[in-house]
Amino acid sequence: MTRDQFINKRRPDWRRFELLLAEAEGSRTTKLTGEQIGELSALYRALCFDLSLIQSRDWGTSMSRYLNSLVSRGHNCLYRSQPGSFRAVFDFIVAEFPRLLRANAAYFWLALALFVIPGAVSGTVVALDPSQVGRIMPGQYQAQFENMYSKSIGENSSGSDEGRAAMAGFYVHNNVGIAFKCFALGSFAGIGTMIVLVYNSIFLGTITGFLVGRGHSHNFFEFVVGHGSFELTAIVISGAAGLVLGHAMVHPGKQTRRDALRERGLVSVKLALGAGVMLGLAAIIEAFWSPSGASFSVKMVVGAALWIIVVLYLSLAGRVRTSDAQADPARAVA
Amino acid sequence: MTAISTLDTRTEIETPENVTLTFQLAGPGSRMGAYLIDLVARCVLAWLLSYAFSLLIPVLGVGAPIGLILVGFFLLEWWYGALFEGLWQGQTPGKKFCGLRVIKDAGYPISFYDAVLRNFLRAADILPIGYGVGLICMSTTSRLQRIGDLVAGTMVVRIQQHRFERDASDFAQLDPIPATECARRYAVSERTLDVIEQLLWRRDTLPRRRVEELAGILAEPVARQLGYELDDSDAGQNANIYFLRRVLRTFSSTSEGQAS
Repeated sequence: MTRDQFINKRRPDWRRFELLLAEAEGSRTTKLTGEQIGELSALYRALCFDLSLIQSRDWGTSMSRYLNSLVSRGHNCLYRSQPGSFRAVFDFIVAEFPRLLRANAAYFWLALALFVIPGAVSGTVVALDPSQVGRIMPGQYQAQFENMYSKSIGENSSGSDEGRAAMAGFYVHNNVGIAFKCFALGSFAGIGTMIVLVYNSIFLGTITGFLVGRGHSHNFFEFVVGHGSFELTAIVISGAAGLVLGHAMVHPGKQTRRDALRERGLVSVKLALGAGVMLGLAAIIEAFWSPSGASFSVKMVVGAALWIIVVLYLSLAGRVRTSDAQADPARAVA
Repeated sequence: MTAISTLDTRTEIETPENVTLTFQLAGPGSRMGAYLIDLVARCVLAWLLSYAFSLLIPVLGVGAPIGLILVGFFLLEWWYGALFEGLWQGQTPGKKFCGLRVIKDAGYPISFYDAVLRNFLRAADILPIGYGVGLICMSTTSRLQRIGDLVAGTMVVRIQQHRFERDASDFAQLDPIPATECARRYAVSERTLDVIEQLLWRRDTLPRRRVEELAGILAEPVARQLGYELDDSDAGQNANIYFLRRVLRTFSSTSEGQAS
């Protein structure tokens, strides 16, 4: 078959394919009928054959480029991933995320240690000797924090309804941003994540130690006990996500570094997204419940309940009965 | 092809159907262009958002609008790229404008998680200043991937929409070169015809004198191979171009031009 015969014979198919493709690529609402999809995929396979024929025959780059662009568009169209749905979001929150966290528990414990130990040390030092706080926090911040927690929570200026809504936005913008950054910096061999965790740990530990040392622990814990459950846990989880990423980079194991990154990358972004959802919830609690006028004991009871909810959610949600466990590899690791 | 792909910014992918597809990778320049467009779009959106919510202050008080504005800023900062690329076939408005698209490095469309991953990791690529890390990473990977692309397994390619039309009307009124005027073998290889075709297609986008120069370089060996006497007088400066068009007319025509 000569080039011209080939073109004349195959061209109607190419045209038809182009038409169907344009329709399939169009808006999200246009749906091809089953028959058309069958036709599209049959044409696609025929075009693949045409392309490899041309590539082996040296029949000119213009034709091979044209077919290349058609086939790659078809490839793009036919190998599309499943569209998302609200069902998938729901499943992610109630099962996939906690399951994934349990499957990667080692990273969580490491991140937790990085987040707790430095803060515990600096907090203890500052609580025992409040003069040490100047090493970490400048004077004006000390005064600011003291001022914030010297009054009882209900009468604070941010206690007004107006201030609360603004603060909710601020917490989302600030805290979720920190968590995502903490995760993303894991791509520097995990070191960036560790720095963020340790830095925040020392900062929060110092504030806690400082306020306890000055005798404001009552007001302070009344404020933080509620949202702390979701917020602190989520920061640790975003740290765990960053460590997953860093570990894949440093020690890909039996895979190539490229494959390891790809596989663990997906895990890590899911963990970070779960942490983001938790922080969104924490922002609402922090803005509307924590500064509310409820009494100390009520705050403590609710706070304890929230901590229990977080622990139960992360350790139990998404578990399957042992009979189903074999079918679910994630369960086996957890 | 391998030699070309190392020189040129192309990459090849083998599909499950065992064909090799070629993609044109997008370099830092065009990606920065798309990024700047998106940056402007994000700034405008941020401004519009602030303005719209500030109108609500008399109704709702100061707090809620400020909270909503901050949430909006958060979305624009972290989710602009992720949502667009995840839900809009790998394109942000800037990428669409510049003819770029994010695809998996196996050639198929990205998933939602891929889009989120590569956009969240911008926070790492953007360091220490002006995407320094991202640029270094791109220059050391064969598929011009920044860290976010490497981890998500994605790459940014140019959208190629090649037309394949041999415009017969352009040549129809020309006389084919008769076999009698050619002293040697009366045939031109398909590859040569293709080069001629490429040059003629690009006639309008290149400077005129450059086209003439290239046509001269091309016409001379073709004429020599055919044993055809190039006549400088018949069409002035465009003799070479005229000749090349006649060559196309004679040897490439789809069915009616098979003179021999």
